[in-house]
Amino acid sequence: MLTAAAILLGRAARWATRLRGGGSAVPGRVLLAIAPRALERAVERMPLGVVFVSGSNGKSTTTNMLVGILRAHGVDVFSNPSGGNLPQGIASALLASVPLSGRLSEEIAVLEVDEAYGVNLAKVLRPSSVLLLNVQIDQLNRFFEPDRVVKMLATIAGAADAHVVVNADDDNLVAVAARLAGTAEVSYFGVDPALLSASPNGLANAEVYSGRTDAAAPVPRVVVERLAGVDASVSIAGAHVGVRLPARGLHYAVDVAGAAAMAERLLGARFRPELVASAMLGLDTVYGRGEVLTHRGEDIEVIMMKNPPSLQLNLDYLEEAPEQLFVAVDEGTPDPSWMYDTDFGHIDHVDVLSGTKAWQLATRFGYGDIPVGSVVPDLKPALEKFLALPKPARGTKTMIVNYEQMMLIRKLLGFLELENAP
Amino acid sequence: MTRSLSILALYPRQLGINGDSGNVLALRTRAEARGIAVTVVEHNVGDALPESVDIVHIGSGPRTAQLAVRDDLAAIAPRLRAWKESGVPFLAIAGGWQLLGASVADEDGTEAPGAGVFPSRVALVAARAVGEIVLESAAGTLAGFENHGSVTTLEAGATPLGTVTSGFGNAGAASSTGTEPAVEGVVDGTSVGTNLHGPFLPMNPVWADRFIVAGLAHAGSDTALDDVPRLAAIDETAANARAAIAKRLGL
Repeated sequence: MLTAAAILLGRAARWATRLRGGGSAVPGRVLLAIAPRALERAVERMPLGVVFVSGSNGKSTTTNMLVGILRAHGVDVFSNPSGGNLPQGIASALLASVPLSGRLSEEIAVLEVDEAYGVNLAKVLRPSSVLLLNVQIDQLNRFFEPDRVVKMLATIAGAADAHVVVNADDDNLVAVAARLAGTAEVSYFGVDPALLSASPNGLANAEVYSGRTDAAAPVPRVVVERLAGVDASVSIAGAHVGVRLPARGLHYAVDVAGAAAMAERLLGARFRPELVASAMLGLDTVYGRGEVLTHRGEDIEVIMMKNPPSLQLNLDYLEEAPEQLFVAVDEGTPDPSWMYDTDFGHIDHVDVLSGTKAWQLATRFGYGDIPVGSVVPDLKPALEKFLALPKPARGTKTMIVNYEQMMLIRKLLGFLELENAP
Repeated sequence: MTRSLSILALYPRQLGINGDSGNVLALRTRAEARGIAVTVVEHNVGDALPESVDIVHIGSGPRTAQLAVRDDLAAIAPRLRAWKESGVPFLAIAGGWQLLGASVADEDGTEAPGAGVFPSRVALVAARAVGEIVLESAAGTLAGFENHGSVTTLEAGATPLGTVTSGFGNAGAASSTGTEPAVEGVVDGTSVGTNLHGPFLPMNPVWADRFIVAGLAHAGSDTALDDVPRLAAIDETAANARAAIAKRLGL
């Protein structure tokens, strides 16, 4: 009874916040405040169990892919929407689909979880399987050092009792897998060594500073074999599958490999490699990852500067230096010092630089000998200036922005559409 | 005769997760813009040190990375101290500065000797000091970003880099600022140890040119530095970046 009441109250909160256009975490908070065990109860009887997807980078994209692959196999999947990877976000997602019984009716829950919150979520939701993507230099202002992230992911993986699937090209994760003491079966995905060494800056995974593992190099069951633009070829347990990636970049191919590897383990004999290819064609772009916005009929490619490795890989796989480039970074990136370690060889100028960190980036580009057209810290005039540029002769207008600026830009573009409407 | 500078970058692989390589880039760019030939020598664990250097840089890194270089550092420490005594300027950032001080006390209280290059000692603590920081110093207003779990004590008579206007500084996050003004960093002759990222030299170019002058003096070269329009343009962006930080901190 309490559960049903809590769900109804949570749904009321969800309805109210939607009317206001407010944040999606509030209804989840309401649910968890009234029924703290709601999450635990919701998932405890799912036939295929609970899968966690975690790591520094690619969580949303890979979760989206894994859900797509499972659904292509006819599996009924519960998942949390992109980025809603904190407990209240997961609880909010729950409210949208849980029956009043409080138990999800789907066969499996595939959840993207934040590295830090994942530690406690693992205790509550007891994932049967865990997919670990990578350990990268990320959010130093929050995590301080990569080793803390390694420990968090080791704890999360330790909760699994069915499958742990790990990136074979991430030395930190290989060491985590080698130290796992539980009953879960460990398997790997990775990149063909020749393809990996052809990537200008590799995969940008964090180095292992101490305690090198003595374990033999893992043999991945799923391997990215070829990559050309957005077309990749992946071998899955012996079968070769061509897949269309959501955007250019080896990291996206690695995400496919991770998702396919986990799906293959979960489904066993039901798994069909060709459904990976069809699932990839049917994916929606995850918010702000390789996304194309349209403004007044003109496409604008958005590269999200989520963290150093994703920025590096996105830059490395640009087809050519963008003819028109907008860059905006604000306090969502408290310390952009790391941009001095970024190889900006793939861009040759910036047209408009914006955000509260604009001047700090201007200094970076100054030392990189990358000319900057204008620095306009306020987003609206900066955006107007950039959008006023004539359509580029080749390619599309391109933006490199952090998450927070991306959200503001989407809002502003909506406003600008209205302002410019006849 | 062409002037030249040799810069030694200590452990760039381990102690370089926070963009501190920007300090070396700033030194190189600013020296080359003045027609000075620059060589950057990277020293990693197990490498042999070069015969001589004019400037030494060490960046910051996680505790595990610090531990990974500690034995090698202990082996080269006598050479580093000798260089410093001969007038080679050292720039040491956060974790690298901790290692080059007199000692490092771990969170559990275990104390290990440092390389003894800087007149400072550090205790590691759980509370992290994270955020933008502004200092007043003899060289003007300095700014940057600090992210450390450390309490640094300067030896008697040692000079801090500056007085903290906003931020934490050497006393760290647990500091209860009493009557003493909080200080940040240390200046020892021509050398600087500091918690500031940004990175420090691109954000505060006055210190970049001081290091170049000190390096040239050590090399026995003319220390005059021309004004270069490209650098003046970069320095204007850095001044605006410092001003933006000060404004965010309500200064």
